[in-house]
Amino acid sequence: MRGLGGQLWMHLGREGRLMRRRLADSLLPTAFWWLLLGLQAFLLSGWDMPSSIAALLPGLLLWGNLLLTTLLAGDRLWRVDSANDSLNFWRQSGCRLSLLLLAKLLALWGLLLINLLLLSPLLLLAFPIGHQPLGLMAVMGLAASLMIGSLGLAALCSMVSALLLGLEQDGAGAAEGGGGGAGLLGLLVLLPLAVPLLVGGLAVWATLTDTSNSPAAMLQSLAWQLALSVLYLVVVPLVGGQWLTLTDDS
Amino acid sequence: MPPQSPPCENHPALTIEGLAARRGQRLLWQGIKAHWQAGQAVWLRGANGVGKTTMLEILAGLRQPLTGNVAWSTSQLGIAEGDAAINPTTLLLGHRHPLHPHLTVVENLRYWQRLWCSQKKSFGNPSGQQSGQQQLSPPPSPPPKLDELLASWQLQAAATQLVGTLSAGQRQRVGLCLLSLLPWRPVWLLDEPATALDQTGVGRLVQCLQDYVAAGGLCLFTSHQPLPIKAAIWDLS
Repeated sequence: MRGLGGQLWMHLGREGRLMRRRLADSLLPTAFWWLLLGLQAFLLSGWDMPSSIAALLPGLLLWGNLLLTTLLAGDRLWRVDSANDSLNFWRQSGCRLSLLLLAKLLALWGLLLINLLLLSPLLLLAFPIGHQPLGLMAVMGLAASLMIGSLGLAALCSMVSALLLGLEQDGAGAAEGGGGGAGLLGLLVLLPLAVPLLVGGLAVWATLTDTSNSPAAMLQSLAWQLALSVLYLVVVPLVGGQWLTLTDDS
Repeated sequence: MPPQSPPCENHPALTIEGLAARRGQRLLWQGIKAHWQAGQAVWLRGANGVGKTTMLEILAGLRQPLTGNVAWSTSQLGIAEGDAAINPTTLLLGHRHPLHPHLTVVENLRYWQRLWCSQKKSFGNPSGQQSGQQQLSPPPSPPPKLDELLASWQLQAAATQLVGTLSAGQRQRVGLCLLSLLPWRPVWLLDEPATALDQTGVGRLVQCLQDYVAAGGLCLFTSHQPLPIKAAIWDLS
């Protein structure tokens, strides 16, 4: 019998292979993000606004876009697996679905990191902080914040995706109006959990834009983001895996 | 593989009592009673929408019935006490196979084989030392090699093809390969296993089912066409 690490590795191998095979599909969220950022940068450039808003708005848009992109990518996590009998087969095998969910979560995060890597030049062009060149500390801080925050968002979107999958399995219920509220329920679960993470991201952004802040303030915000992301990383697979195990069509 | 001696006829391997189920708000059936023996093939019949797939899912433990219960005889199936409650007894192969279209035939099969074999709940222990139970039906021979299995289903040429590029009949064959590839389970629940198969494929399927039943397995299958196999008929209509 393989250990848990071996099983996780097996799932990761499958998800990684699928991501490579469907590269065009996988990078669709990137295209979406490019489009959003480009449009927003264009709109913001011609808009005269108070300096405090002008300083925070890019951060708000940045994190809002990241949340939307993660949701878009997360929606595809189970699409094929739910269309065939894979979920039932996983449940029958007796494998830990939490490990499967963790693998899907990490694959989603990997995709987001690729997105961030591809987008980083545009990020710096679109949102020059205070019209000043970014220092090394600011670049590293922003990169760390996005990496850490995207992990937490990937965890949350994976959970919502699993939650919706369980609800959508009730095909008959959906046909009779029972599944109509699934999306709304997902949103209600996601937002309260995502907001603290986004606030942490905004706080990091604020410390970058305010030169009077010390690096310690940025580190504090990063630590907040990290704590939340790790919490979500641990809890989400357990909760989501249990949900997928218990859910049935009845 | 020598045929196993039939289990005691007074103690069915599967007993269904007063089973009822609904789909959405629609009551599919109620008061269903049945009992089946190990080493038996059962053809679950019924019109479209009558609830055949639902019945198989309930038997597999993937869905809860509205009322009634399903009892597996641990001694008849050669499984340890307590195992039946957590559903390692059955293998349900639905009509939508668990094959990802963007993985090749071999990648799909290898993934499921490794995953299932990595679980501790299996019944392939030829020593028969599982909790002191009588080990009725583990296959004495090791699982077939993948390339031999693919050859027996005439899938050698398709081995490295993406499943999404296969025909419906080929996909069905790949799905049926899982039956031989995964660890032994005492009950097979097959939902439309003959769909899209040509005559040769149906012959191979029947051979597979006959071998399984001869080894002491209980096989319940749905089909809209009669299969050339000796099977009890269970009509849900």
